[in-house]
Amino acid sequence: MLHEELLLRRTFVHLVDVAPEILLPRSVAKSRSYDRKTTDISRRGLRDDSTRIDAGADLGVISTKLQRAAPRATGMRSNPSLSMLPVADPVFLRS
Amino acid sequence: MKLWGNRDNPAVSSVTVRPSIEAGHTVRVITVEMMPFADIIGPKQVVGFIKIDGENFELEVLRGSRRILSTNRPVVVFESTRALLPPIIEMYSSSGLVVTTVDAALAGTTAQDDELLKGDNGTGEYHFVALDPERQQIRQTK
Repeated sequence: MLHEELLLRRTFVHLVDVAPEILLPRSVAKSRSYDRKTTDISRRGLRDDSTRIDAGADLGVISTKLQRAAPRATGMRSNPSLSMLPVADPVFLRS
Repeated sequence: MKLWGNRDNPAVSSVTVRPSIEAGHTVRVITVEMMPFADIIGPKQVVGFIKIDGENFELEVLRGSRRILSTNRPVVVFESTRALLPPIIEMYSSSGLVVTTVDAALAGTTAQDDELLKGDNGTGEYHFVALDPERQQIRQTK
C-alpha cells in the first residue's frame, strides 16, 4: 500500500513537471516554478566537488534535479518517510 | 523531540501543531531523535548548497547548521513566513550571509530588507535565498 502511494505521488509529480502551465492549478504551477528556480540557483552555485543538503526533501523531486545538475557532488536529503511513520507508531496502521 | 507525523503527506509533518494543515489528515505524535546537520557533515566536507523546507522549524535547522554556514558560506534556498523572517535574517547575517528573494538571486541583485518584509500582495511568495555577499553574482556555469 505504501509503495503504491509513493508510486502514485511520483507519477503525479512527473506529470506536473511536463504539463503545459495552462492545465495546472495556480498553486501547482507556482510550486513547479519554485522547484525550477531552486534547481537553477543550485546549478549556478554548486560545484562538482561540494555537498548539497536537501532538508525537507518530500519525494526527492528537487534532489533528483540537483543531482542531474551536479552529478559528482555529494547529496544528502532528509524527510519523514511513509515507511518510518507506521514503525515509529503502530497506531498509524489502525487509523 | 515530538513530531506531528502526517500519515497522508509526510512532507508536511512538523514539530509544531498546525490545525489548519492537519485538518482531515491522519496525524500522530511520535518521538524522534534530533541531530544537527553540523554533526552529520564532516569537517572536511564543503557544503555548497542547502535547500530547507522545515515546516516552521527553519530557525532550529539553521542553529544546527551554524558551523556549516559560517565556514562554507553555501547558497541556501529556504522557506519562511514573513513573521519568522526577521530572526532568520539575523541568524544568516551572524554567519556572514545576506538574504534576498529567489528572483533577485537569479538576477544577481539583492532585495532590501523592507522589500523582504513587506506584504506579499497576494502572491504567496515565501521562498528566499541566503548567500555570501561576495558571491552575490551567483557563479555562472558554462
